[in-house]
Amino acid sequence: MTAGRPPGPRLVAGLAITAVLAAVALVALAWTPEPPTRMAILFKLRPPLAHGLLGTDAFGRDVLSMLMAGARNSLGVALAAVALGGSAGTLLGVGVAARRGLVDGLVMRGCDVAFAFPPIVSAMMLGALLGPGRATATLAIALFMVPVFARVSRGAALQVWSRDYVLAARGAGRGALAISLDHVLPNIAGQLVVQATIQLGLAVLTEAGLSFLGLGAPPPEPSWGRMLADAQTYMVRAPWLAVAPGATIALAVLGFNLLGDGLRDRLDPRRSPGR
Amino acid sequence: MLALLSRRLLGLAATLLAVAALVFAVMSVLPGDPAAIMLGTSARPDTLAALHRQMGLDAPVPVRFGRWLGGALTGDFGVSTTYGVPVAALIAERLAVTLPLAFLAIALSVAAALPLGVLAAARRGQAVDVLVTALAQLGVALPNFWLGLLLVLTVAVWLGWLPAGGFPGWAAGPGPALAALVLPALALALPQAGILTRVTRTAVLDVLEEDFVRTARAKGLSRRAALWRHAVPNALVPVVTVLGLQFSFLIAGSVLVESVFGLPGLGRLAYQAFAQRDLVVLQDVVLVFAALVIVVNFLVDLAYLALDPRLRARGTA
Repeated sequence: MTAGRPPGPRLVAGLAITAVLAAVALVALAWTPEPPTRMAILFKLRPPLAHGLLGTDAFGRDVLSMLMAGARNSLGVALAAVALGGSAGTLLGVGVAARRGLVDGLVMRGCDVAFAFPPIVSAMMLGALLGPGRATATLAIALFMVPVFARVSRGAALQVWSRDYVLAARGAGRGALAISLDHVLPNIAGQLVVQATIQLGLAVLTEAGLSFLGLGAPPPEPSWGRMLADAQTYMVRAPWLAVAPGATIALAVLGFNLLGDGLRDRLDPRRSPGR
Repeated sequence: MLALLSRRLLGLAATLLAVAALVFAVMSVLPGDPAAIMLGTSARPDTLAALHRQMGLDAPVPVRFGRWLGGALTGDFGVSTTYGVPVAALIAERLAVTLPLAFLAIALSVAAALPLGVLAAARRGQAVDVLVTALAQLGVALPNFWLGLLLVLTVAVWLGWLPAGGFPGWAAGPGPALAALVLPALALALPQAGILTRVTRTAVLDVLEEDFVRTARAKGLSRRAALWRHAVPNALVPVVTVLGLQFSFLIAGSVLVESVFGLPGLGRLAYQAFAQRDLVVLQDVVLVFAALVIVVNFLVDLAYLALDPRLRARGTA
């Protein structure tokens, strides 16, 4: 279907950016230039290249190493949240598309309600009760993803249910579960992958915001958001501290967004590229 | 039309009730005793019991929900444990910062996004389009709190053009108050403008490709007239939709940006309530946030009726 068409520039750029970041996160599992949590007060607030590639923070920690270790945390939380919320939402969406009726209406109204709670707001609510941390941040982001995926998968699944071959399968006596597994899921998988990629960008952005407020992974574990929060204190003396983490977050979000757009252009031939 | 409106209002009331029930359920059903959380681990049992009575936690859950909802409907949100003042007054005071901030951010993002999106669509494939699309893509990816930090550093600290943070209050006159809101609003608006530019561009392109526009063009309508008479007005429907959906992100953004600029808004109040374990305030502010999102989306639904006569005629939208 799409074979032979050269990948668009957005797909290539998105793939390149996300591949590099994923590689950095993986490398950081085994190696960083310095231990990311090691303090060296004597070398504190050194500008880039004066000590390490990106300088040091107020505790003399190596900024590049913290960024690398932060990739592990930030991308990890984002991936877990999208996987969790995406699976739950898809299950709901595909389920109600098969059942329809009252349950369908109730679940969709439930989605309207869930949409009214931005992840930061639910993270504060959950954080106050369960204590802030990586699990709370993941849960808060995942909860926001559930209605997103429920709507997308329901819409896509309803289209599949109206196709002739599904009608034929029903005529042949196949049950809703079998049809959902054999026909609906494979046919909507592409749209779900696109959605998941785009939501990954949003999840990275949200995780950064949560860590910025202290609602993410607890210190001393490095995260991009908290690096920015720490940088705020030394804004005037050491402005470079605010540049690298922010640019890294933006790059990660840009990468996932480009990848999602590129995949959508490719998977949906009716859409002209660049729309 | 009236029947449609009353049906919508009934739906709005039901959704708001569900939101209130959810907030209450999360705060009271989840493990964790609010009074114990507020007092900390070293609280004496009699202090804990007293706070339980004061917060009404000794009553059964449905009674507590009824009291809270009844209070919220009559503007009585209870008393803040940290500030010792009525929460309603606290919320009203903070809304006077957050709502103007949100509206300023929306106004700025629309003012940038509409012209840019229409321009990009009108010059599809040309250099201008590529540039606008790339900028929009970049804008969407920028964290608003990072933009806030950069704006503080460049515009406030280095150039000294605008205040770096804080809020003088509306009593100080609209000038200084607005000046304090410009940078935070810009930080909130830029990523929003990126999204809106893309939506506007796509929406205008979609309308330009519709049969009625092609027919009009074939009958001699100029490209310019087709753009302004047909494409732009029709493209407003998806643009307004996205604007409504983005309101929830604007609310989330206000928590972060108010924190960067030290603005005494509702987002900052929520964060302080969280940090100080003031669950009474937190529960009320979360309800106000969610209700704002729902009401804004309700208004967006109504705006469709004004913007799209087809929906009005059908009456089922």
